[in-house]
Amino acid sequence: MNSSENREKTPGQKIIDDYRPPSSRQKAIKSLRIPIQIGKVIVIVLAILVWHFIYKWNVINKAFIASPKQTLDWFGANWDNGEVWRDLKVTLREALLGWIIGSTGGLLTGLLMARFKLLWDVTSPVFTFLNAAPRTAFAPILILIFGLAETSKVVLAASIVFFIVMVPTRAAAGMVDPDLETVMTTMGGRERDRFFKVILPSVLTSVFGAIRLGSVWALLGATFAELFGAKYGLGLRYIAATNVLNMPEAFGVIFIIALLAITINGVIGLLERRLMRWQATSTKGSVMVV
Amino acid sequence: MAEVAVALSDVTLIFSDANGDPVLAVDDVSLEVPQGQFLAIVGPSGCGKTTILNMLSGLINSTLGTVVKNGEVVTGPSMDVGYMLARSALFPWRSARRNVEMPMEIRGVGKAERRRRADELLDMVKLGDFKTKFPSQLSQGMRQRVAIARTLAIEPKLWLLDEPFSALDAQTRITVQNEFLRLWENTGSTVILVTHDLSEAVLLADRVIVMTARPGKIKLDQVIDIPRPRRVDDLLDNEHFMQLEARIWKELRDELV
Repeated sequence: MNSSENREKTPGQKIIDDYRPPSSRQKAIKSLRIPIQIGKVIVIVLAILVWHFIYKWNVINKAFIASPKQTLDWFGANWDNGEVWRDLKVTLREALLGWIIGSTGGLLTGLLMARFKLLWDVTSPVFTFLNAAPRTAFAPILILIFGLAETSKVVLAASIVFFIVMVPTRAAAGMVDPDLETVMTTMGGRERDRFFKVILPSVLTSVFGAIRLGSVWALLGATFAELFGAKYGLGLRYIAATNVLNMPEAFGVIFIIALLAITINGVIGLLERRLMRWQATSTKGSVMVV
Repeated sequence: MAEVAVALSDVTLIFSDANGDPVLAVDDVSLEVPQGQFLAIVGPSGCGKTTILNMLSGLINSTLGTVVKNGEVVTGPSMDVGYMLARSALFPWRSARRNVEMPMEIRGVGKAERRRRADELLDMVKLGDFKTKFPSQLSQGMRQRVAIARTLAIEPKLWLLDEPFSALDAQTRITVQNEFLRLWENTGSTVILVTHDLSEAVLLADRVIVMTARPGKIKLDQVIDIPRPRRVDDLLDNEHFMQLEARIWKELRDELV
């Protein structure tokens, strides 16, 4: 037994050989980064130019669109407009609340449905119907029920996010690596350990993308509901502007909403990269899916 | 002979297949394993090797007969068993260190103590420089070492190994096998290894059992009297090893056709 110390060396050496440095292809991709950034700027400039000439050459009736310059001027005149900021805050609050409620509800329901298969078998027709129903079309009804204020928008946003998260959660909970469950069970893990240390982390991993997607849909849902009637909000500002053909303001609001969506998506993307840094190759680039 | 670690008496297991038809997986197997023995079970696929491990780990119950571990009838999973699979089954979202901490977490070991012990175990499997790496950043061999460290953290009296070296390439396999032997040989714990690789069984074990094709029965029970400590790569051209392997191979061959 005392010879065991002598033979520790050789096997140890071999481990280092297993380490793989980044391939030359990965390096090549890295060195492309700056030209790609320049390419992006060029495409954005081109897009603005196209927009400019569509307006200038009257491709679309000038009464119905705003030019890049008019839109920019609107931003210049309104960047410190308290009413615009208030509308932004209201819409953002509706979207965030709807997103949080919808995601949490979708996650919990999905887990529950995966755990109790019978429950899913019994309730699935109703869920399938609700999922298939055009939920945005419920907006006017929701406003009748919950009023003009923010609640109706939160409900619509949450109902959209709910299904975006619930459906993949249920699927992911059924596809947890059985080896991990076996290991957890043989280690003496209780039901609680199985849930918090195996099922929940693997499900969250699979549905993080859906939760991120849900944030953009929550903003869409909130804004859309506001079109049908609201006290404040970007959707209301937008529809009011188009009603009086104030196109620079309409375009300005559209830009605000888009920038908001990109920001939310980006923040969650950063969070995702932080939480998912254990994943080897990234399928987690900043893909916008709306 | 030493105290009995594991005893199967007249164990039969019948399960139903996809069509609901009964399948006789294990047919009246009796077996005693003394504490500290390294037993290898070889046999063709479907001979019920893994089923025996699952019964020992308490994942499934035998249809007939009793499974006794450390003097007590097995009724469910217990914390003194270390189970290793062909795939490392590491938690991909946890670093090597936090994977090794897992069994201690389940037992409620304090955070500082957990970390200290995990680091110690990772040093023992020579992954001291890879503690904060995630499984996706490690090679197959390294992952299986982390799995060994994690199983060591259980401080098992009984190791159940379900082909844990079979997914590794030839060189890595020898390294990891040596590593396992080095760590196990002084522990006094019992090992039951299931494998379809006969040389692996003879190289590592004190005793090899050959099972028949389904329904699984014990066909041959052979003591491997190669002295310990062993080093797998030193044994490969050992004459005694080759004789033993050839003798068992003759028995196994009949089961493969």
